[in-house]
Amino acid sequence: MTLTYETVDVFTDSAFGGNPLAVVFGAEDLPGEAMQRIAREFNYSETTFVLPPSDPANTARVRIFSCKREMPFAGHPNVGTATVLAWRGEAFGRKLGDRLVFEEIAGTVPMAIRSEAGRPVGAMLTAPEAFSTGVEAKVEDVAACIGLTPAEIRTDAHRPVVASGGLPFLVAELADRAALERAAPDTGAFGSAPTVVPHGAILCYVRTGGPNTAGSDEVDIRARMFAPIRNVAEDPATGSANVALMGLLASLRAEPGTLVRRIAQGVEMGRPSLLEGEADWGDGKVTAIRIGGRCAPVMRGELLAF
Amino acid sequence: MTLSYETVDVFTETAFGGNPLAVVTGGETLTTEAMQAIAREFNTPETTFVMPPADPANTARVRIFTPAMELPFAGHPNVGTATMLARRGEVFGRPVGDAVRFEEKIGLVGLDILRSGGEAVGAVLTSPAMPEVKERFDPSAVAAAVGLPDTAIVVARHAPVQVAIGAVLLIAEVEDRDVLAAARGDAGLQLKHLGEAAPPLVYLYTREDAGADYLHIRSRMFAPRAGIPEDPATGGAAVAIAGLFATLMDGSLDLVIDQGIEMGRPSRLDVRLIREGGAERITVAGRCVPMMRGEIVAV
Repeated sequence: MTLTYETVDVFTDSAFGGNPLAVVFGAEDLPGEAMQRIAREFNYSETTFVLPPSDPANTARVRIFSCKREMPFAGHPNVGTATVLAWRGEAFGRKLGDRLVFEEIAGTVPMAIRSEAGRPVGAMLTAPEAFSTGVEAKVEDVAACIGLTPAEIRTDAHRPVVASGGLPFLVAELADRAALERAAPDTGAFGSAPTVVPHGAILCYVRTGGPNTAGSDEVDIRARMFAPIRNVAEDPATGSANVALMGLLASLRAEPGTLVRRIAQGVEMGRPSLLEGEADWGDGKVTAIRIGGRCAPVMRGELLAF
Repeated sequence: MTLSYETVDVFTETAFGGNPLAVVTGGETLTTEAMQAIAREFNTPETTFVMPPADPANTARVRIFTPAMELPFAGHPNVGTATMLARRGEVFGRPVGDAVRFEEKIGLVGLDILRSGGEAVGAVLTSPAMPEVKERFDPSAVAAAVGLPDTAIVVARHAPVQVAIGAVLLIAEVEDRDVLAAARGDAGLQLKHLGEAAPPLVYLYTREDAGADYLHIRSRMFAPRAGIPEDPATGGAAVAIAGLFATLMDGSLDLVIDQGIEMGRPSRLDVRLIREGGAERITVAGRCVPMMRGEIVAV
């Protein structure tokens, strides 16, 4: 058995920005424990394993592992894996077009490949689960976890609330860009604040372009994601969290249609990322959420330990 | 320019144990910033860049980066880089024999290659300097800083103490494996109980077995303030603790260190304090397992 891999930086077009991902091929005979060890060895926020689909109508089965556990679904691994497959042009003996479908624990995930001048540059996923919101968290708890004062958490549009389109996140809007830049995760508070403990991950954001930033901005939203008790002090680009954010923002709108937002994440930690979000809203509910972005190839190699 | 690399697990004979290292070759024309970006991308505790030596009497020039900064010297990157080059058999057109000498920021670093059936399986590092034992710390404060009860630190042989070998470590003994297993790395606790000025690297150990010139310990190294919740195998700390023991005894010492067990990356470091003819030196030996091989396509 020869295991090969490629690594890509996802949600960026510059190597060493975005969120790194390792995509492993040839792991058909590997047990889950071996995949988990390989993911830990790569030490990225996620590593994917591309396996033959059980239904030939789909492109591949994709298993996603963080350093600690297998994930039912995640955003940047799908965008990165789809782009790597599109660069290769084929999977399991079949040529690939601009629509891929992955089999994952959370369900089937449709992926749309984006190409420029005939070359794939990135991909967009459609979230596998219906959008839902859950309990609210206390403003004081959220503020303590990200090192801000309660007054720096905005509550006019929504209070800090659990939202999910596949993976749940606490989503909190901040007062201004300065608060976003100053935010810093407090591991102790994440482990003790009663209304945060059950969720563990906070996506905080500001809307740009309005009074928040005193002018225009090249993006609509700036976000940061903290999950220190999951061993992710800060994540440079979190597809699943921004799926949740897009669903939440769409659900707050009165008129039906498609909400389109450009979201910058990872800027403060030196891995700038750009996520493109879309959410369809009609008949009083969110009907589809999509997150996409570009990818930069970084490394290619083989695993010697098998 | 083709940048190629290998990754190895250092201080272990088992894949997925020990301490991971990436060794990059072909990076002669890279800027320091590019090396730092690559080290950050690998996200291994350290990444080394192997370049031609300035003096042809040496094997190579080696630069060592963590994901955050360049280091003047470190243990596991030297052991892993030496083993990887010896396994290749040649570097910069010359064969790699049973000893290598690297040019590093700290100075010249010499290693002997360990072979098994002719194949390079590890390396022995001779520390370029003897550690310096410095300030002592209050045992109850150190216990609190790693989440242990007040009386958890053993002080019969030495108080918790700061030892410098390039980096500065705080070294403390605990009673047994259970106490060691209960310790945790928490940046907030360390700052609260030890203060900003204390070393961010906290090294705890317990004695497993001892003889006249032999000691077997199990250890853990926490450096959450430096972005490392726990390190699976710390060569520099092995030198530091041998230097600490040197101040407590006469003669030479064979020191066997098990580290990283609690975090699921078991590691073995074989350390020797050698005293002969009025001189003393410390060596650290470790084995390595090759893990990955590839190229960096982004540069």
